[in-house]
Amino acid sequence: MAENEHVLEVRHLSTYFFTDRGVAKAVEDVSFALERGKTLGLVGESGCGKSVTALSVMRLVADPPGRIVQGEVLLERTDLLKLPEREMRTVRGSRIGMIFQEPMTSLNPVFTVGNQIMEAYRVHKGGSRAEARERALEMMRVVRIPDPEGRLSAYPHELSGGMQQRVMIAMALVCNPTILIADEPTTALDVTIQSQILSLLEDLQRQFRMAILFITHDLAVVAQTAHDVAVMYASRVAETADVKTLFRRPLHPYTRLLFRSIPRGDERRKKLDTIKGTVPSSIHYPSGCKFHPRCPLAVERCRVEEPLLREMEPGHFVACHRAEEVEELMK
Amino acid sequence: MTEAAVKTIEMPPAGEVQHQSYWRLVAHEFFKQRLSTIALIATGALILVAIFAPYLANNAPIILKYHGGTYFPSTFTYREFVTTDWTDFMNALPTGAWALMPPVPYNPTQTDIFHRLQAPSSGHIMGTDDLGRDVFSRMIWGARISLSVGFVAVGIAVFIGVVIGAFAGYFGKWTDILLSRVIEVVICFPTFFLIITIIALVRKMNIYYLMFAIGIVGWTGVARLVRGDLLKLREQDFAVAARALGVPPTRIIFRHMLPNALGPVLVSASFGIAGAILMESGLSFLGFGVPPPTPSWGAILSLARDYVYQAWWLTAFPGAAIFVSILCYNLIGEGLRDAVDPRLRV
Amino acid sequence: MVPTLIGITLVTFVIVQLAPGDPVTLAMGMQGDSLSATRGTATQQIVLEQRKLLGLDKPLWMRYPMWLGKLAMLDFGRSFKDQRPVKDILAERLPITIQIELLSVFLAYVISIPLGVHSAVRAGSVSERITTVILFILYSLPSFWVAYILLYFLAGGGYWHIFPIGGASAPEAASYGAGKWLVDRLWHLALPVLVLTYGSFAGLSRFMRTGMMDVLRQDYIRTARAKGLSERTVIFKHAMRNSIIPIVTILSGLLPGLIGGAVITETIFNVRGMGQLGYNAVLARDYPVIMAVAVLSAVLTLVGILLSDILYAVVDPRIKYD
Repeated sequence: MAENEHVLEVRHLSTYFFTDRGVAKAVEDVSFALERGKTLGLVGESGCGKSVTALSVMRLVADPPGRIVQGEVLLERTDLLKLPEREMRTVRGSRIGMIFQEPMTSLNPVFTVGNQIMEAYRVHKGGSRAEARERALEMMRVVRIPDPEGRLSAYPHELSGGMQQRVMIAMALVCNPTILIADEPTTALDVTIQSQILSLLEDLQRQFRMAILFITHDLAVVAQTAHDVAVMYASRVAETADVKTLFRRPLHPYTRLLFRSIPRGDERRKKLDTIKGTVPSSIHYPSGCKFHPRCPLAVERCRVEEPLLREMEPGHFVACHRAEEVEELMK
Repeated sequence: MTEAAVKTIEMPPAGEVQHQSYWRLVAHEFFKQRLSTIALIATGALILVAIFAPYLANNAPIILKYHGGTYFPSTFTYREFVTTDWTDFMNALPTGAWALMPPVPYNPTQTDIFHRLQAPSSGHIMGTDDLGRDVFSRMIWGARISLSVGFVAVGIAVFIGVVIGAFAGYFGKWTDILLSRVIEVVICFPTFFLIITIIALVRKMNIYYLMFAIGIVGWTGVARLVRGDLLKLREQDFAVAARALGVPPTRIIFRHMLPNALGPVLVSASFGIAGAILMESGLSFLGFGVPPPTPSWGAILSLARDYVYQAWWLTAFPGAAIFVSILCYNLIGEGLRDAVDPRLRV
Repeated sequence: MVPTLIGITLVTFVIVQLAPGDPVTLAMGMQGDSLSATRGTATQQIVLEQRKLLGLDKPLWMRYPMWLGKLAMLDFGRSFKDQRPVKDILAERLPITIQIELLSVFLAYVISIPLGVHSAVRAGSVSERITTVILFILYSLPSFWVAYILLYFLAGGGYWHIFPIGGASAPEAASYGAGKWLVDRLWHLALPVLVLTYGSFAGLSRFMRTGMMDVLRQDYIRTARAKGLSERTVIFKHAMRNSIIPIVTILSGLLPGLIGGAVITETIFNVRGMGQLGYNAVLARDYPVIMAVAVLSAVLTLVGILLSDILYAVVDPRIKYD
């Protein structure tokens, strides 16, 4: 990985949840990097730890019961995990913005939309109400909200889902952050709105040279928007590569099976392929490689030893003992 | 494929997964809470005290061996002893006769002017009131009044509330509108005042009117609960299916829907009993409760009004008893509430 | 609202009609045994006239609308006890009850809201658990017992004498200046209001706590934190504003309890409010007063319910009031 353009580097991040029923290791030894102006897609099934990873970067994990037990999160060379809370707050919303999955519930219902955007601005940049108002209007135009002056005094419930998500984006970007974390921003929206929001994000990225950490479970969205991809399974990164390489040549059995299970319009098949078994509970992981109970290539070593990420080709890392054989064995 | 050894995931052996009935689950969750369980035990003890009052506080012996015969005066009335003053009788017990006395050898209504307003002592653990009656004995018998009024009044309230709430919730539309108005009207009235008004209408006051009055004024909470639940339940698939099958409404309501709604009703009932006990003592305190000389905790407190500064025991003990019983029922209610709450289900 | 009003008046009317005895003979019987002893035609005349006056000569179904009409004119009739117009008696008593109620609601919210917020934010901590236990105990204490304990230790007993034993004002209060009168009134009402209110701390603060905890779990709180807002702002601006909403509806629930509970408290502290009035009226079988108190309290409660509905619409922008 090139060292110069990394705005964010996550190294060996582990977040655990300490509950009555045991320790849930939601994120285990996760490492990735974000480059300026590029999008990293963080993909995985529900429960694999991708959201918790994002929240860990922002240090928004509820403590108790969650805690970041190891790792570094370097934002332009400052380790966020070591910052006192007061300073971390200056990072949140101003240097890193975050948008969430359900825009309706993510906006405070009792404050106007304009108020909430203005608040995001004033808390970091100060300034008078008039300044903040101008800035809010400007952002609303940037995110393509029609009739911004009118919408300023609207309440969240008066807007459509797509409009609400644009408001969230405006709020997240009003302080011109270097990084935007988007946690499944289009999952709760209609397909047509989804593509609008995605193209908006692409334009904004180009305009502001933002790095985007895009979390999703939808491989199609990843293909459309990401430059690089990291596939997560059960708290770990299974495979990471740039998007073209990943789609052309996935080397982890899980990734291959994921691609196979997507229904395709141009193939005639009677049954949908599924990955047999279910995602393990984060409290009781299988030993060794967490995927081994469901993996068609599993051998004794997989049961015993956890595979680490290995560079199979430049920029393409895979965490599998049998990565060399995957292409051959899983057509 | 390859000859790779594939590990299969193990399922728990059949039969180890147990299905618990709803009430078993509730009971299990309830007993996990220490305070509530203690409260339940305490309440049990209180109920026992109330039931066995004649054997705990009485001037008549439990067992009497006299002139060759064995008698149980605290249980039965005997022709030979109908006019006996047991206190005098026990004082002048002839040799050869033997009696087993209750632990508190006083009857709640026996007066003793020479020993009025006595502070607690070895003779009278809780002192005496202004007519010389033993306070501890009155307290024990008072438990009967408080508990029975509590249970019956709440029983009445729950019955009325469930019926009205069920019909309002199930039939909806006009029935609901009408019944909701009724509920609203009753809610608007100041409860206590309404009860004393109803009681004032009665010529001769007795405990049954008391139970009735408290019950008829306190059903609105349960009604709203049940109404809310049924309004939701009637839209669920099982209810629609039952309707489609032609099951008569009353059967649907009572057999299929109400059992689901009973949890919160039980919680409400427990708090209701606490409230009824408070109500009864309040009423007795003001003179609207059971007529004298029947002992009631509230009545003793009422007496205390005139002697607040001189006879602290008349205020302390009945008040503490009322407090403890209310506390226990409230704790039970709390415990039930958490036990019944589906959101807290693991 | 109208049907409920009709319901209230109807129920009051019916209940009172069920009372044993004829109000006239009762009243006359109360005024002196001598009257009831004589059975001369003169007495019969008086009785007939009285009945006509009270509308008792008309059949039942006519009496109700007649009474209703009088009610609308705020004519509550005359008290059986002292023949004074009930309207005047009410005018005397109502202000005190309203003062007590306002003070009580104020005290309830001022104590419960901070307690609830504290319990929510510090859920599980030692201080929160202790608070919960104390509040629970308070909730279970019978008010008349507490009243006497307070009186014993703080007023007339052998200990401190911080508060007066009873009454709503000192006897000479009429001659006080406005400021002094206010202080004197507050001082007198302190104990009764406390006795009336302490029971609601537990419920109200628990309600606030649950509401607050629910709100703190919401997504928009996470968003607020992601914006970099201080925890203080998150709780007191974003969370509070949302948790206040259900609290407002509780207002309607507090009011009926106040008038009812006041009966005992006012009697113990000898405060001349509606509660004591109602109690004495029931004791004396003074039906015009009883009916007036019942209707008035019920109507006030209804007004309270309406008020809280309106407040709810004001406070929650999602509600459209029509």
